[in-house]
Amino acid sequence: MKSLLLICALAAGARAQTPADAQKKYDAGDYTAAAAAFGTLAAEQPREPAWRYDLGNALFKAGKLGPAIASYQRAYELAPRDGDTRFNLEFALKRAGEELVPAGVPPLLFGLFHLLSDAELAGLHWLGCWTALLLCALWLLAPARREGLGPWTAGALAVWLVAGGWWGARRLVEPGRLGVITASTAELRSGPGDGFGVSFTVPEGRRVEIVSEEGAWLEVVLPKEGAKGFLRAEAVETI
Amino acid sequence: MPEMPQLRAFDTVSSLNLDKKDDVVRGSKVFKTVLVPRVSGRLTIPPIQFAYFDPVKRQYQTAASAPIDLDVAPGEAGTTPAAGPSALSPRGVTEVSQDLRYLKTSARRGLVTRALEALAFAGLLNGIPFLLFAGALGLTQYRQLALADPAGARARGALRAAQAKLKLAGAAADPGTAAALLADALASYLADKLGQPASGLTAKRAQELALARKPTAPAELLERVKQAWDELDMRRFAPSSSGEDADAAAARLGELLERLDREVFR
Repeated sequence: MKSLLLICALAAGARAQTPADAQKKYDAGDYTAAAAAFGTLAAEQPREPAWRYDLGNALFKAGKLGPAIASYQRAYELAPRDGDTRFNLEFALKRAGEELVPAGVPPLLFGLFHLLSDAELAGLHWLGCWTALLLCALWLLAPARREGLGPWTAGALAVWLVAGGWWGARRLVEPGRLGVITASTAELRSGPGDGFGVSFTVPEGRRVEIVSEEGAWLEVVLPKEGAKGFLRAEAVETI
Repeated sequence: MPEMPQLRAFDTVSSLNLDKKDDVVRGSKVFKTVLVPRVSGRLTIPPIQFAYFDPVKRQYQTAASAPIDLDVAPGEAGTTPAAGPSALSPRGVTEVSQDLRYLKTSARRGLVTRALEALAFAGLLNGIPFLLFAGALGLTQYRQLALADPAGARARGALRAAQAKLKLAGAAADPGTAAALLADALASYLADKLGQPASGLTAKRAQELALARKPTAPAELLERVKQAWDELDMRRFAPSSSGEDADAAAARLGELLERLDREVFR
C-alpha cells in the first residue's frame, strides 16, 4: 500500500507521460522513474492492461516485488489470454515462492476457466441476455416467425446461461478480495493487534485473500498454506 | 562462486603456499576459475565473497570483491563451437537465464473486448431488454384476452376509437365528411358499448339498452344523447344548416362520450 501511495504521489507529480517517454526511462535503467511514468499511464487508462504490465516490469526491475506482482495481477485480470503477462506474473510469483496455477489444478482447466476476463465474461452474459430477451419478445409478438426464430433464440439463451454460469462460478470459486504483501516480511498475527502473537511470517509478493477489515488490520488467508490471521493493512496492497 | 548463468565456469587446480616459522603459520591459497561467456554484451561478475576467521578480532569476517563489468563482443560467424557431439547434428535452444518479457509499447485491447466491457459496465441500460420482454409479454396477454372476450375488448376500446374519429372530424376540411365522422363516432361508440351492430342502432334503441344496462343512469344525460344523435343526423344530411364548426362540435361530443363512459358504462 505504501508503495502504491508512493507511486501515486510520483505519478501525480509527473507531467503527462507517453509510452515512449516511459520506455526510454526503462531502457536507460531508471526503473523508479519508469514506474512513475507507467503509473501515470495506468491511472489515466485503468482498463488498459498494457500499462499495468509495463508498470509491473518497472517495479520488478526497481526491486519492488510485491507492488510488481500486484500490477501483474491487475494486468492478468484484465487480459488473461496475454502470454507475456502470464509469463511475467508466473516469473514474479516464483520469486515469492508461489505458483499461478494452484497445486492440484490441471493447468489446462485453469487456463480454460480463466480464458476470459471478468469484464468480458460479464459482457458476454449481458450480450446473451439482450439477444435472448429481444428474440423472445419477437417470438411472442410475431407468431408467424416462430419457426425461424427458434434456433436463434435457443442459441442466445444457451450463451446467456453458459456465460452467466461461468461468471457465477468464478465469483464462487475465486477469493472476493485479493491482496499482495508489499512489506519485505509481514507478520501474520493471531489477532488484530501487536499484543497477539506472531503465527507466521509472510514474504513480500505473496498473494493473500482478504476476509475482513478490523481498523488498521486485515484478516487474511494464505491460500497455499491455508493459514489464517491478521496483517497490518499497510503491509498489503489490495487488488 | 555466485550464480552466473551468462558465464560458464571451469574450476582449475588451486595452489597452496604454506610457511611455518617460529610457531607461526602463514600462507596463501589461490583459486583459479576460468569464465567463458555464453552470450555477448555487457556482463557483470557479481561480488565474490570469502569468509575467514580474523584472529585479531576473534570473529569471522566476510571479504567481497567489487563487481567486474565485462563487454563481450559477439563471435564471428562460424566460430561458435558446436554444442552437440557433431557439428552436423541439430543444435537445440539453450536457456542461458530467465528474465522478464519486455514492455508492451502500445495499448492492445481488441474491439470485441472493448465492446464486451462496454456492455459489462452499461449499468441500468442492461435493464432495457427485461422491460422490452415484459412489454411484449404484457401485449401478448392483452391480445389473448381480447381474443377470448371480443365483446369486452370492443367495449374497452370504444372510447378510444370514438376519440380518434372525433379528432379526424375536427381536422376535416369538408363539412360533409366531418359530419359523417361525428355521426359515426357517436353511433359506433354506443354500438360498441352496448354490443350491438352500429348499422341497425337508433337513438331510441340506444337509450333503452343503456337504461337496461344501468337503470340509475341520469335521464338528462340520455336525453342529451338523443339530442346529439338528431343534431348529427341534421348536420349529416344538411351540413350548411349548422352554424357550429366541426372542431367545436367534436369537442362537445367528446365531452358527452366521456361523461357517458363515466356515468353509464363504467
